[in-house]
Amino acid sequence: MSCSQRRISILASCAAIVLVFVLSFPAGCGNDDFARPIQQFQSASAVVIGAARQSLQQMNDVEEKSELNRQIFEGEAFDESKIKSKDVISADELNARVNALDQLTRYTSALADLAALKAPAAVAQKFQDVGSGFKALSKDAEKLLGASGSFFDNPKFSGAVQVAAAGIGAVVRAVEERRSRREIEKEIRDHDADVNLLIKLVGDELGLAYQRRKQAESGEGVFLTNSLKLELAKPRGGDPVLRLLVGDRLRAWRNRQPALANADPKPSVDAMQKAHQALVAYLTAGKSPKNLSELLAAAQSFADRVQPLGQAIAALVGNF
Amino acid sequence: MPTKVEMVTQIGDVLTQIDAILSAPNFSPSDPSWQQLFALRKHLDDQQRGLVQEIIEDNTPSFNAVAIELGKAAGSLAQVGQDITKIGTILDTVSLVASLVDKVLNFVA
Repeated sequence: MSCSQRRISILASCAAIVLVFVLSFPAGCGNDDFARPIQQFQSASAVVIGAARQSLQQMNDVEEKSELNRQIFEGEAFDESKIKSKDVISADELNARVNALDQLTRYTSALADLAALKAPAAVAQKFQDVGSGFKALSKDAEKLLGASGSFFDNPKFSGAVQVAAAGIGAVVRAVEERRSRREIEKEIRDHDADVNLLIKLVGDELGLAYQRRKQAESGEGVFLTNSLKLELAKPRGGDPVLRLLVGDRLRAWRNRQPALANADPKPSVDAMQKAHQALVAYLTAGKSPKNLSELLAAAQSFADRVQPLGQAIAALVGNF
Repeated sequence: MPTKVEMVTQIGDVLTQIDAILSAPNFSPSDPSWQQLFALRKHLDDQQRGLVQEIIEDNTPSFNAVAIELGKAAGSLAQVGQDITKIGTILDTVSLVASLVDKVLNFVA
């Protein structure tokens, strides 16, 4: 074999090896393909969890402030008991909802590790932690069943948590028992509707909380503009100091409106759900390039969706 | 089929429109129509809170039928906009919305 023939042969062998590598690792099989969407998912989820906590934490304040504004505007005597009677959520209810979102994020993160071709044994601990987290959440949700006068549908929430916990428990068991990847994926697929039901329920509840805040803010606009109208209707335009005070509150109210328009966490939870679904589709349906591109798009869409939410929540902190 | 969450959002849109009307510079709080609309606003706000709190099956034909009627009423209110000269129509439509929400609240399990 001549020198040039040997060179051609070596080049051909190298090309073949490169081709084998390329064909063996189609798009989506490498861990690098996952780094970005998973990081996006985790960062975006952290924003959603923060937004959920804030939305729920402010619910009582929002309702109380709305009642106080009404009493002032209608010239009623200050009545603390009436104000307190508007409280709508307990600390336990709030924590259970936020914890549900947190555990759901951890579950999706564990699925991502599995999808990134990590051996089930390598991700077992993460799945076990998720399983324990859901068991604890189940117990907490069950305790809410006895809560009276709740704003939210606790029996529905508790039921959705129990079902999701049971489904995730089955996935955790499959991982713990070192079953075949195909069997684990089947468990994930079989129980994903239960997980999605819980994500949707939490998203719906956050949407309802946002609607109440929107209404309280809208109502405050009525109190302020009409207080000003009443003052202006007085001889010589009423008291200028009072007008300035009301005007200041009206200015602050107006400044909050752009942030408030983006503070609904529900669309972000919907985007989170789509990213989760795309990951499960990728993981359980052959890891095709099409599924990978859908996963990348869903993670990007989730990241894009939470950006204005994060800004809005930051702008509204302590400002309502 | 419309859901409870969608209905709550729809009531919210109606409330926002009412608030814009109540805040209009040429609509005085001393006007009896203003007072009437404000009272309806408070009632609708309480109804919205009640709807959020109650456990209601929203996948039934009766809920769906009321939700469709509510959508139509909200749509016709949106068409009137903030035209104070049509305050009679506005008050009638908001009353209709409130009576439809009452129907839904009667579905409570």
